[in-house]
Amino acid sequence: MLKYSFLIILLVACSTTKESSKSTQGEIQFEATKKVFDNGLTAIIVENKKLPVFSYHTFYKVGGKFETPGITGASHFLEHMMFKGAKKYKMGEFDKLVEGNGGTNNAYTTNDLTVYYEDLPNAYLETMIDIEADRMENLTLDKAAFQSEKAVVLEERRMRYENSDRGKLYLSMMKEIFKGTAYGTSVIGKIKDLNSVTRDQIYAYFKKYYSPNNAVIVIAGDVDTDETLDILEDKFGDIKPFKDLEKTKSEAIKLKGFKVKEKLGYDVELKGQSPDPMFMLAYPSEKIGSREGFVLDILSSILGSGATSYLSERFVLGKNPTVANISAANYTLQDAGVFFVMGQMLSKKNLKSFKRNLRRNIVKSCKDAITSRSIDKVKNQFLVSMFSGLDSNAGIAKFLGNREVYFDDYNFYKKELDIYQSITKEELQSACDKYLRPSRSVFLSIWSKHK
Amino acid sequence: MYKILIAIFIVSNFALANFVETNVKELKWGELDVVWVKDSKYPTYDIVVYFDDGALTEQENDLGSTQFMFDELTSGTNRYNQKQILSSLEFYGTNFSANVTHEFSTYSLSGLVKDLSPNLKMVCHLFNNASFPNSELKKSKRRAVAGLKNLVTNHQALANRVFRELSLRGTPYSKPVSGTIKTIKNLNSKKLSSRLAYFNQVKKKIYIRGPKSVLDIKSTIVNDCKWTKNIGAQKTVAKKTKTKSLDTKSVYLVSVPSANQAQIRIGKVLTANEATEDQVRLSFASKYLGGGFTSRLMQEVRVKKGLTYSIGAYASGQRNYGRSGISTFTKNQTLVETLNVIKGTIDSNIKSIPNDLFNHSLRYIKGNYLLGMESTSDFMNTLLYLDHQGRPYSDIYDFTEKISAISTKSLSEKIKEIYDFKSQMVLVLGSSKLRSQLKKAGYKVKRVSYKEFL
Repeated sequence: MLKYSFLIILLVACSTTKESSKSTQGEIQFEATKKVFDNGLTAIIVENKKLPVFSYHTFYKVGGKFETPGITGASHFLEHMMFKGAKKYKMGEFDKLVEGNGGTNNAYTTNDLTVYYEDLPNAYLETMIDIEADRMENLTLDKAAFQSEKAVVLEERRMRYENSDRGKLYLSMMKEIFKGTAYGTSVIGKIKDLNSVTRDQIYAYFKKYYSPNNAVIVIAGDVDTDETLDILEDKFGDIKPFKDLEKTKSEAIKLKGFKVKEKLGYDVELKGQSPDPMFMLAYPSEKIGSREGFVLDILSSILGSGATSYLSERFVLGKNPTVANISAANYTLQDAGVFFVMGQMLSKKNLKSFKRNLRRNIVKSCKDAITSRSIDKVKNQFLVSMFSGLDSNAGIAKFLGNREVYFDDYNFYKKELDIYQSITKEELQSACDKYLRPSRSVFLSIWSKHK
Repeated sequence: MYKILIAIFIVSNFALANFVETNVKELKWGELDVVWVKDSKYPTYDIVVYFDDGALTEQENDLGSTQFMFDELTSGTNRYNQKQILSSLEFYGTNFSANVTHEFSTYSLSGLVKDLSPNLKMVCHLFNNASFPNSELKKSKRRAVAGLKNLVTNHQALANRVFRELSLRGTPYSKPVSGTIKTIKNLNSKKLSSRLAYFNQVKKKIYIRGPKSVLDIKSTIVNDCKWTKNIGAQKTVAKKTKTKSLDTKSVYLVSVPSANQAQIRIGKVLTANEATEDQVRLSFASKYLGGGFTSRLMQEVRVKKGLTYSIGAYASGQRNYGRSGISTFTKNQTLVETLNVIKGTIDSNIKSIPNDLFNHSLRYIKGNYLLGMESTSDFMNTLLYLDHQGRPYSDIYDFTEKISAISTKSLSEKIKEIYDFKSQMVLVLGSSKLRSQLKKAGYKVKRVSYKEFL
């Protein structure tokens, strides 16, 4: 018996021709309307009248995977440059207008996406839409700012990766699992490329990927849906789509593709500063939206989410603990995925025997860890975490935007819950046997004693 | 445009006042004060139990015992072992955690309303019967010690820890609430049991967010937790903060191996009066200097010079003390330049603040304040913080009026009082090679080993 089955019913919404949905039973109270404009721009509006504020998210479907040799880090660098002025709103005006009107803004880049977001009092909705339209159509890429921002990105790189053992380990893991594929380079980029990339190269990249037909806008808050859609039409309606978008994307990706090596089974040792080894055990997994991807999500939580997860009980809370902490995750990207276990060893424990023991225990877990109770527990955890992200306009916008981008359906969360609910013990055992074989894994460790 | 913004803030104040009026209910369950923030949007709840004491009352040799006690409540009782307790709570997807500060502590619980009753009953059982078995305690201590030993790989966290202790030295607030390697090793079952017995007697207040049905927990609080009886009087912390030991003439250099970036911490300790009596102006000063992308420091250090990825200023207090400071990082080669730009920025804003920058910052802070109230859980935590400081809830909607009354001159004065470079302690964490760079630039350098702070 699934603990959350009654909630599924509450989540069922009615659809209209305008693709708007409104929950009718009181639990999920956001009301969403989707519109695709003639130039391919997708907009989703969610009304929430709690306070006179709104959150504005723009999801550009461009990230590290589209970067070709020599321009690694271009998507992330553009994330920085997008705040450096356009034709109408010049250098510095973006931040001045947003913060000077009481708002906040930021952005992030992944292998698949670049997302820009702002939160503001609702009187500035039209201004915000105007600013976003201006930088989509007329980004300046000021020469002086281009150079100074390179220094800022290099500083970010030092902070996140070069001076952090955890960051180094993560970069190395992604590189090993996705070696030779479009996901094999770091989102922040190689130092060499960041130093050498030119304004013209970045501008050419911008013109290809920052077009209305490659963007999804989600606005959540105290706004009027019809009025907001009218303003969006007015400001974005004349921006031309990039006609060769799909061709350009497939050509960029085709250079490397997403086919990962199935035969791995080796170890990587990195020199770091950790007095005790920090480790990652990684396996190629499945892309977002595939049934096996969902199965592996549940499996990762059974193995490594919480103190009573299978691995924590064996290696942290057990009689003879070997690690200070351990967790597992299934990181599903748009075109591939990676399942990993990570943690930090306790001092005076043997890394070699732990490595063997960990791989052996994961194989064993396919029989021992997957029980009806552990499955129900994970499903409960998923439901709680889903609700916890929806306490703000920004949380709602991010939640719906991600689903629209990855599934072409902002309502996909309803199907997600159905899929998670339908996953069986047998499917989990079969995925565990198939994906978590030692020969498909890479064990990485970083330690002050490694050479 | 500015008139529109004023109108928004007036409307927002009404909206906030109306929200408090409609959705915040103060209740009395026996002698226990309860605050309920009504929120029926989702079938979830948050419960925060506030304890009017924190790490300040710990013995010198038992630092960390309060945080450890709360964290180890799940390690075993007379009826259940650790596995049974954790399995029960985690099965429902319940989140539970404790947060200990020097002055107060909180224990938080959140999850689905339908599972609230069994979860809370278990938590009450833990508070009444936790036995802290030595077998589990030994493992937890070992994990905690490992965490501290490996802090050297997290330069930001390590810099924060060392700076806190150095800048607060001479006050009762200097030691970390999580304890040190030495004091953690010293903890045992008896000490934690004694700490729990003490906290069961400490004055409490409960904050609840959720639909009306969450109030059904009253009987569990009364009958199982038994928190409506034996509540102690509000504890008065008489310890005063002193700043005489603050060395503002040297740069403290904490060296870590193989760093190609320097962490910079600049700041000082605030007395109770500085931290609590002029909070709106204090908050304005810190946000004007280092809050948001258009703050003075962000503009000068990152935007104009490209010296860092991030820089921020803070100033906040509890009931009897506070801290103010600036936090950033830069590559080794630009350490001195970064310090000079920070100093120059502070100095120029002590001299005068341009009207346009002042008004810009004022609008930013007002809007940001409103956005900070958007999440109901965050709003509830604001109420808890106001209660701890003994301030009325009306402070929430009086904020706009109070901040609007501040002048450029008065803001400059506050910046001088709090951030004047001459009164700050400066810490740099990074490569040992930074020493010669700092000395060459005329700084007196004091080297400290991070190991002394673990």
